[in-house]
Parts: sequence; structure tokens; C-alpha cells
Amino acid sequence: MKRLSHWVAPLVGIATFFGLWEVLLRAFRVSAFILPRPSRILSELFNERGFFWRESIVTGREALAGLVLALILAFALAVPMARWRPVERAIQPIVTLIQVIPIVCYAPAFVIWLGIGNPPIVAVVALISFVPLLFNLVAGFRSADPTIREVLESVGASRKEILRTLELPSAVPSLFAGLRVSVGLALVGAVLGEWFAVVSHGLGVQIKIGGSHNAAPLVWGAAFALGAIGGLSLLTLSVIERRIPGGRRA
Amino acid sequence: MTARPSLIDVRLVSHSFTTEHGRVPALDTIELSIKQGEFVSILGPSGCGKSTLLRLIAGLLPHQTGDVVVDGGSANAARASKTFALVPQQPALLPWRTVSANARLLLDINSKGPSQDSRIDDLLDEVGLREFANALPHQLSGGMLQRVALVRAFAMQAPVLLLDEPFASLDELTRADMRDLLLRLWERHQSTAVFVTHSISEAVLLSDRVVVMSGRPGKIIAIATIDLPRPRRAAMEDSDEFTSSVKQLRTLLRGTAPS
Repeated sequence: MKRLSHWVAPLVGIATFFGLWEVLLRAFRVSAFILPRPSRILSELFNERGFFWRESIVTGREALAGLVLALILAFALAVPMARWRPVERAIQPIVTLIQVIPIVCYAPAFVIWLGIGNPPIVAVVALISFVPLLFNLVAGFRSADPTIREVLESVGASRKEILRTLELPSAVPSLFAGLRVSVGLALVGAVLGEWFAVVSHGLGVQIKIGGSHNAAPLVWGAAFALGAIGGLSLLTLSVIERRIPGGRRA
Repeated sequence: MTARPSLIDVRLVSHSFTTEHGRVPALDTIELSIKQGEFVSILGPSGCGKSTLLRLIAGLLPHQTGDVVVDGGSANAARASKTFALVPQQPALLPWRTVSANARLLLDINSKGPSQDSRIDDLLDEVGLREFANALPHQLSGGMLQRVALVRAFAMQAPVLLLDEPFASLDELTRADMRDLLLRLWERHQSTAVFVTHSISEAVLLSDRVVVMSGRPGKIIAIATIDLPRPRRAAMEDSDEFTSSVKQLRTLLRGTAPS
């Protein structure tokens, strides 16, 4: 019964949302030019599935590459930051400052430094998704139970062993909370990066083309594809988290 | 008992903590010798530095003045060579590990190859948790969790057992069971035990000697020898010898609690 509502309730919510969208547009005879009905967007996606699939792979790869890069950077900084307060105090203001500057400002800079094409896109993704990962990881490492730490230290456990047995598993829930935020941000970064990096493929590129040609179905098709990438990534994350020691099982 | 050499020597140790309000003295010139195989309780009011003393012996805190010698070397060296098994006030189990994986935790540290699972199984059996070997900590009661913490400590077969008010957060009935269980395990393992508590009857029941400490800064005001016969069991708490020992300690402790 509990399992059923676990799956059914979200599906009912989604169906209601798109059902209302469909019904209201039909009732008020809104032109597909302004906002296409979901059925129209889905048929566009289906009819052009080869095209949307290829463009999704391009954008998905950019987002994934940037996310992995951000994760590596976040781990490298979070371990010393969690261990030594002065390191955290030294790094935190700079990272916060980098974060408060709107991400669009960096995109042209990355294109200047890294040239046009993939590298600046991955760099934008990495930069935008790095900050929530870093702060969540530091908080996660800090959440390790100090009493268990002491029990481990009382038998001479090395820092590496404490990291492996206690700190890493303790950080898993916050790491995944950070990843959930970063998935959405990574897609923002990938779309934005495509707009600046003078590339010819990717969902961001198609949205731009659709916008300049008043092609609402193309814009919304790409948006739905981005939604699918994000949604599937989030589902994958919760499946992975359930299998990792320290991960939440709910 | 007199022939046995001392295993732990605390020599003129004082300790203070630095807080926002300046330095707060925690321990004042502590002098204490604990012999091999002895069960010693450290009894005193809250905040008297009992736990600090335990951490100094374990080498978890660097001592500021005086000296701590364990097994002829420094406390730190003893810690590195797995001399101690610590049982904290909270069970402190890893929530993502099963009961048996938690019990094995300390054996796995610094060890090459897989640990002897049969020892863990026997101990879990002895504390009545065999059928919970594959359960996760959140499925167990407080008393069961603390039994896992005892198994984790005894599984190491460490020469010195350090217990920091391990039963303080349990209800009275569970505490009585846990005291008996601790006594049984300790009798078989022949380890030296240092037991921090603020319960007079617990100290009397378990110990060969009870170190009575004053309130902050902690100072030893008496060391009482408990002459009750061994093996001891919770049922002895009704005997005259027991009551008179409790009375004696209560008199010593009177007036030490911070007002």
C-alpha cells in the first residue's frame, strides 16, 4: 500500500499537470505558435526522435563531463577544508565570490581562454555545479559522529582509515543532496555554454534556433528533452544512493 | 595483587581547557597507578574531569603537565599498538553497517587479511544478539546497541578496556543486566579495566578499587579498595558488605558536587 502511493501519487501529479495544460489550451484555443499542447510536443519529439536523441546526447555528455570535473575538484578541496578550519576560512570567501558573479559572465571568458567548441561548455558546467558539491561535501565530512571518530582513534586508526570507514559514508547523504542540485545547474551550464561556444549541436543550440525562427515546437521539444535528461539523472542518483553505504534508503 | 606490576601510571598530571572565557582547569595533579588485570572505577560528580582522565590515558588528548606511562611507553605509543578498547557513553555504531560488521569494525583497522569472524559470532552469541547479526543499528534497542559496543571492544582482546560511563543512558533494569554482562566478559578476558561512572553502586559492584574525585578541577580525594569476593553479580547489591562500601563512598563524595 505504501509502495503503491510511493509511485502512484507522483504519477497522478504529473498526469494532472499535463492534463490541465492540454485541456486549457484546447478550451481557450491557444495557438501552437504561442504555446504548443503537450500532445503536440510529444508527437514532435516522437517524429523527430533521431534528431532529438542526437542533440540530447551532445548536451548530456557536456553536462556529465562538467559534473565529473566539478566532483573531482570538490573532493580535492573538501577533504582539507573539512579537516582544517583555517583552510576552510581561506577558501570559502573566494568560492562564494566566484559563485555570486552570474554564470553568464564567465561563459565569454572561457571561450576566450579555451577557444570555441566543447572545452568552454564543460568549464561552464563544472564551475556552476562545483559550488553546491563543495559546500555539501564539507558539511557531510563534518557530520561524521565525533564519538565514533574517537573510538577509531583509540585503536590508532590512520586518517585514511577514518576517511574510508567513517567520513566518506557520513558524507554520502549530503553529497547526493549536492548532486541533486548540481544536475539542474549542470544542464543550465550546458545550454548556456552552447550559446556562447559557437557550436552547431546540442539542445541549447536548438532552443536558440527555435527562438530565432519562432519555432515553438522545437523550443519546447528541446525543453522536454532537457527535462527527461534531468529527471532520469535524478532517478539514477537515488538508485545509486540506495546501494551505497551511508546512503539514505528512503 | 601487590605482586603485579603497574600497567598504567598517571604521574602528577594536570590538565586545563582553553575556552572563550579563558583557561578552565579540568584536572589537578592526578597521581594514579593501575595494575595489570585490575578493575578500577573513576567516580565523581559531573564535570570533574573523569572522561578527560580517561582520554589522557588513551592518548587521545596530549597531556600538558606530568606524565602518562602505559606498559612502559607513552600513551600514544600504546594507542598505536592497539592496547586500548574504548567503550563510549553512546554506542557510537556506524548506522550503515550491520551488527556484525560494527562488531568487527575495530578488528578491521590496521589489520591485514580478514578478521576472525568466529570470535565475533561467539561474542554476539554470548550477549544474546546472534539472531541480530545482520540487523542494522536502527532496528535495535538502546541496551542492545550498547551490547554491540561491548562486543566491538572485547573482540579486540586489547589489554586495557576503557569504559566512559557506558551504561549512563540506559534504564535501570537494562543497566543491571549490562553490569552482569560486563562482569562475565571481563572475567573471561582478563583485561585491565578503567571504568568512568557517577554511580556509586555501579563502581562498588564492578571494581577492585574506586578512585573518588572531587568536583572541578578534578582532584583525587580517596582511593577505596573494594573487598567483595569475585565473581561478582548484581545480586550482591543486597549484601551488608556492599551496602557499607556504598555508604563509605557516599560519605567521601558528600560535598564534592558543584552547587
